[in-house]
Amino acid sequence: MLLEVRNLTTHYGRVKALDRVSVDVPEGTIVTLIGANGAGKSTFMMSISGVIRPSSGTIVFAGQGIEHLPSDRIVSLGISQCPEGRRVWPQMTVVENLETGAFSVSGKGVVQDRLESVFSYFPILKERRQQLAGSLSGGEQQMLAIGRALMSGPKLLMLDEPSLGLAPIIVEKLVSIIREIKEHGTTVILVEQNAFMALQIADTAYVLETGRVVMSGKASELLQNDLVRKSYLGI
Amino acid sequence: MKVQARIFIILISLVALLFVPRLFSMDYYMHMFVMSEIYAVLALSLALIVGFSGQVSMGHAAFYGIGAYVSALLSVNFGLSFWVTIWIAGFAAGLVSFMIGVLVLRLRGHFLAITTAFFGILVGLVFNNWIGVTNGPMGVAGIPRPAPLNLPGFTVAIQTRAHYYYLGLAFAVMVAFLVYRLVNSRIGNALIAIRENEELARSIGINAMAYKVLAFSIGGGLAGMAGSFYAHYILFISPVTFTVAESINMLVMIIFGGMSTLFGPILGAVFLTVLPEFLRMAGSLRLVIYGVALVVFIIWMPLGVWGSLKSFWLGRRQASLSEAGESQEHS
Ligand SMILES: Nc1ncnc2c1ncn2[C@@H]1O[C@H](COP(=O)(O)OP(=O)(O)O)[C@@H](O)[C@H]1O
Ligand SMILES: [Mg+2]
Repeated sequence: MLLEVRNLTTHYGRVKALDRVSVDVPEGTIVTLIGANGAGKSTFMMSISGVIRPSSGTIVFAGQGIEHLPSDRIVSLGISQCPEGRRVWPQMTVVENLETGAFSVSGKGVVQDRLESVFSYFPILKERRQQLAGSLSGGEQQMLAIGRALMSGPKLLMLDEPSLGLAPIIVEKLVSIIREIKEHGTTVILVEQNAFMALQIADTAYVLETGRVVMSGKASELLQNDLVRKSYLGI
Repeated sequence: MKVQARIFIILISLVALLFVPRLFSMDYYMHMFVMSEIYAVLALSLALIVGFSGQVSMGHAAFYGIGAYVSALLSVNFGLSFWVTIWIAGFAAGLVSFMIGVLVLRLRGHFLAITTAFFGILVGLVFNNWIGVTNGPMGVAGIPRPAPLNLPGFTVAIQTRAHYYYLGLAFAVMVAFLVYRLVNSRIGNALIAIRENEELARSIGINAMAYKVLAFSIGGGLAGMAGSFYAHYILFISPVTFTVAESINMLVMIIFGGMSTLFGPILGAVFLTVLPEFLRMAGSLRLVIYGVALVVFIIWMPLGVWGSLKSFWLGRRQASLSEAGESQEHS
């Protein structure tokens, strides 16, 4: 198991946003968390990456407990996240955004190699390398945000609603890129409201409701599950 | 090519600056220029904190004052040379700003501004009331000038305003170079990333607190060195020089010039040191003119003079580049 989350509970002040969530992420797979708006998906990701401190529970990554580590240490251990909302640095160029993503990496050669590999996933970023990130289209900014998360060379990549607000054709493209990333050996946690898209590419899935895991299993099985079909797929 | 042109312009300007004392021999003008150099260092060091890291500090004059007092008291009481005390002053001010930074940089926006202003007031109270050490409102007098500088081959006394002018020029150039190297390094990238979006910066593995504290400490340390220079130039210091009003004056300089550029703070420092002197001719209208001019600036030129010129120029360049097609690369 690359990542083992046990009984993770996270509060915002008094509000409990995650309630004893346990999730297993096997190496080399795509695991998805689906759930409605406000279910706690982003909170889950930020608790793993150390941006928010969980109040209790354990997070074991590659055999090491990380729930007390600061976010910069967690990134250098090999967990990288692409936060919700396509957030890039609009005043920096594409290349500067990407280089900043390699902040935990030392060695110019390594950074150059990573840039090349990001450009091979996203050729459009290579074309736009000197443009200000703020001038990119929504889809391109999303790709830049994912590319930036890849720059640290993660073992585990966490994506928060990458499909949000993107045209279906761009979502298709994103799906194939996420598959490609997995095939190159990076484990992926995909957080999505777009359950249909997520269940199609994930190996395992967890359904989150008001901070709790209410269902989990193989993604292909959840795709057939009546309750999931009714509540999340609208079929 | 572009870089070479820039270096060329900078070298030409430096050479021109070397001739300033020949052109303006009056003490009155030379004093304004020396003060401009001190303010240039202060503005650059504050720009590192406010402009590049986005942490609004209203207590910068406190570090300026700490440096001035440490340096003055060490040389008056223990006979240490300026060439030693300026480093101790920088270190002491840097250490205090490190400690303050650790305490207050968790705060954001107005909270940070207000807390740093309170810190500035507190330091002023210490200068005024710790009479046994600081001599209170009476200030510290009899601060010695820097000892003659022994360069290989010859010795330069630091006596006249022209001497201070050259020393201050060297100081300001070194600080500008240091800040330039800093903001164009990995550290600079991290600071800008934090300024633009701190949570995002943390999420990609930048230890935001550490970098904010680093910028705050370096900025405070440089202000302390400026304070030492000031003390050994004016030869007298008292608490009235290091007030919150002075911190705001420094903020105004970087807002005026453009705080996330390097040339902007220098421009603001020189302009706002020289301008009020010229406005003296306008008598009591001076403060009104000054105030109105600032409001106009903040509303119509939020990037400052230099920042606006730069973004105007960059905008035109970007536009002409995209006309020229997509396949160009610089660097
Ligand atoms: N910064 C915050 N402060 C207080 N409550 C928050 C904050 N962020 C999220 N919440 C609350 O936590 C719950 C989970 O939110 P979130 O993790 O953003 O859900 P999701 O990503 O699934 O939409 C929601 O009830 C939300 O209102
Ligand atoms: Mg969310």
